Amino acid sequence: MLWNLYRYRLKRLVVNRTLIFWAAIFPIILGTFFGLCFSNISEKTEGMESMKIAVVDDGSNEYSESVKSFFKTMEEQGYVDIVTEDKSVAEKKLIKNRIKGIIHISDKISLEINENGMYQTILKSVIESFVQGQDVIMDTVRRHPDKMNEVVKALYSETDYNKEKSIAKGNMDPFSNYYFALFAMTCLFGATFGMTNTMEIQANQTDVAIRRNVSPTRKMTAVFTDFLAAMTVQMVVFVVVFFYMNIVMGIEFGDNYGYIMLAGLVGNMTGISYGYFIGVLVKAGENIKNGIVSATVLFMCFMSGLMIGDMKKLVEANVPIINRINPAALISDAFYSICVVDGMSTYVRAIVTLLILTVIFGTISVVMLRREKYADI
Amino acid sequence: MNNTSVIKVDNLVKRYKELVALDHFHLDIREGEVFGLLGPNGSGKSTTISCILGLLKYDKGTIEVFGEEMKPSSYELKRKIGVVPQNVAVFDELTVYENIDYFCGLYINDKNTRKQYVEDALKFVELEDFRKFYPKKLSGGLLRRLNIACGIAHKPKLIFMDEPTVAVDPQSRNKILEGIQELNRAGATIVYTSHYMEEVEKICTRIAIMDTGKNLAIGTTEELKAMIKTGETIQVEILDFDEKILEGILEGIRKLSNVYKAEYDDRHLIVQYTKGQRNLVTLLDFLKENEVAFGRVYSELPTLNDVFLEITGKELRDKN
Repeated sequence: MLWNLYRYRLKRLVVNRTLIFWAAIFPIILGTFFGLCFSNISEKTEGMESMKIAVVDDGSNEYSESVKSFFKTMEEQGYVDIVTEDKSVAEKKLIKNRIKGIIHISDKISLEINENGMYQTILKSVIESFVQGQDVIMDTVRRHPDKMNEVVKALYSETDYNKEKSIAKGNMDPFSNYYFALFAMTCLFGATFGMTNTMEIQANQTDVAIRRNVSPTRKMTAVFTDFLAAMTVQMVVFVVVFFYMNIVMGIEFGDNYGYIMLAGLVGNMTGISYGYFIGVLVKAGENIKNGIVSATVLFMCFMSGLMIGDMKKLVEANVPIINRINPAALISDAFYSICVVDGMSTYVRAIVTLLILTVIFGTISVVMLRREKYADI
Repeated sequence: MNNTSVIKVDNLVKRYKELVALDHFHLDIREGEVFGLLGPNGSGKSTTISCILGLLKYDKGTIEVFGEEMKPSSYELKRKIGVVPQNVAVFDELTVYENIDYFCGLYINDKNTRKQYVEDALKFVELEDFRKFYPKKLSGGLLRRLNIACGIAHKPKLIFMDEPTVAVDPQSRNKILEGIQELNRAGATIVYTSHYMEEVEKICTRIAIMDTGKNLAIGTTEELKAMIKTGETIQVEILDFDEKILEGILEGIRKLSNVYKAEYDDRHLIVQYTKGQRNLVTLLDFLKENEVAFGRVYSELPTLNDVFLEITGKELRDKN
C-alpha cells in the first residue's frame, strides 16, 4: 500500500507543470541568467580601468603627506587616477559622476561618494583597510618608503573580489552568494509541494481529500508517503540544479559533495515542512496560500541576498537575529561555509537551526493535520 | 432488502454558528435499499452525509453505521463504505487506470486483488477503452463515470452518491442510473442524493424529503404521493367554447366528486383531483352534457415535485 501511495503521489507532483516550473525550471532559468550576467561583469572587471578619484587635504591631519603618499603609490600602480586635489572642483566632478569618490584627509580619513557601486565598494574597503592598518602604513611610509608598493598591493588585493582565496578549495566566484541564495530558493520552493500536500489531505479543502479521509488508510500514513514523495522530487530537483550550475554553467563549488547534499537535504526538508505549516495554518483558498508561500519564500531569499548580494551583510550589521532564523540565510550560510571558507562550525550551526525549524514547522503541521473531524466542509 | 439497519441517525443537530444545518434529524436506512435524500440546495443533504462519514463535527445526536458508532478511526467500518462526491474528485496527473488504482489502493492492499477490482470497475463504468486517458481528455459524462469508478472499485457494501449525474448528458445519465441499480442488485446499500426527482423516483426504493435541516417526509414514492392531497391532473383542450358560460362550467366541474381545483388557461381546462377512480370519464361526460367541444385530453399522475411542492411550499430546483 505504501508503495502504491508513494509512486502515485510522486507522479502527481512530477507531472504537474506549474509545480515543476517553480521547483526546477525557474531556478535553472535564474541560475543561467546569473551565470551569463556575472560572467560578463567578471570579464569587465578583469579589464577594469583605474578609478578616477579626488584626494582633498584640509591640512589638519599631521600625517596628511604620508596619506597622500599612499594614494600616490596606488595611482602609480594603476589602481586609481587622482584627477584633482581641489575641493570645489572635486565636488563638482562628483556631482557629475566624473569621479567615483572624494577621499577627504582631515583629522580623520573619509570617503565621499555620490552613488553605490562596485568601484565605490572597492574604494570604501581600501579606506577601511587603510584606517585599520594606519599605524603599519604610516610606519612603512616613514621608515621603509621603498616597501610601500607591497603594502598597497596587499591592501588592494584584500579588497579585490577577483583575487579572494578559498580555504575550502572551492568556489571563488565573486558572486557565489547569489548562487547560494539560489540554492536556498530551490530548497525553499519545496514549500509549494508541502502546501499542495496539505490541500489534498484536509477534508475541508478538496474533494480528493474527502475521498482520502473516508478511506481506511490512516491519515499519518498518507501524510508520510506524501512527504516522502515531495522530498524525492525536491532532492532530484536540487541535484539537477546543483550539477547544472556546477557542470553546465561551470561554477566551482568545491568537492565537499557529501556536505553539499546534506545541506540540500535539510534545506528541502525545511522548505517542504514550511509549505505544510502555511497549508495548515492559513485559512484561505489554494491560490491565496500559494501566493503566501511564494511571497514569503522570495522575501526570505531576498533577505539572504538573492537579488542584492550585500543584503545578508546589511541584515547581519543591523538585525543579525534575522540571519540566525531566516531559512534562506541559513541554507546560504551552510553552502558558503562548506564551499568557500571551510567553516564547519557555521555549517553545523546552520544545519542544526534548519533542523529545529523543520521540527517546529513539522510538529505544528502534524498536530493540525491529525484533527479528525472538521467544523465545516 | 431486509430490516437490518445500515445507517441509524438519531436526533442529529449540526450548527454553523447561528445557522442550524441539521435540526434534530432522524434517519434509518436498511440493508439493500437505494435510499434517496431529496432536498433543495442548503437543505442539509451533504451535511448529513458528511456527519455520517465522520468528517464533520456535530453538536448533538448519535450516528451508527452497520451497528457501530462512526468515528474517524473506524477503519474497518470505512473499508465497507464507498463515496462518490458531488464534484469530480480525481487527480488530473494520473490516467483513468491509475486514478482507480490509487483510490482502490486506499482500501485494498493485495496487489492482485486490486488489479482485478480495478479491471472490474473499468468494465462496470465502461471505461476500458479510456484507461490510458488523462481526466482532462474525458467528456463530462466519462469523467462522472470515472468519479463513480474511483468510489466503488473496492466493492463497498454501503455507497454514498452525492448528485452523481450533475451536468451529464442523457445517455451517460441512463448508464449511471443503470449502474447504480446493478450495484444495488449485487448487494450494495446506496444512499443517493439528487435534485432530479425523476431519477430518484426511478431508482430509489425509499425517499426522505429534507428541507431546512429537517426530515419532512419519508417513504416509498407511492407512500409519499399518498401523503399529499393532489391526485391526478386532467387537462382538456377546448375546441369550441362560449366564454360567457365559462364560470358556470367551472363551477359545475368543481362540484364533481374528487375535484379540488379547476381552472381555464389558454384554451385548456385544467382539473386537479384529490384521489378516486373514473375521474376522466366523469369529466368528459360532464363536458358532453354541457355541449363543450373538446380535443386532446391528458391525464398526469402526481410527481415527486408535486409532493415536494406541497410539503415544503417551494420548488425543488431553481427554475432556469
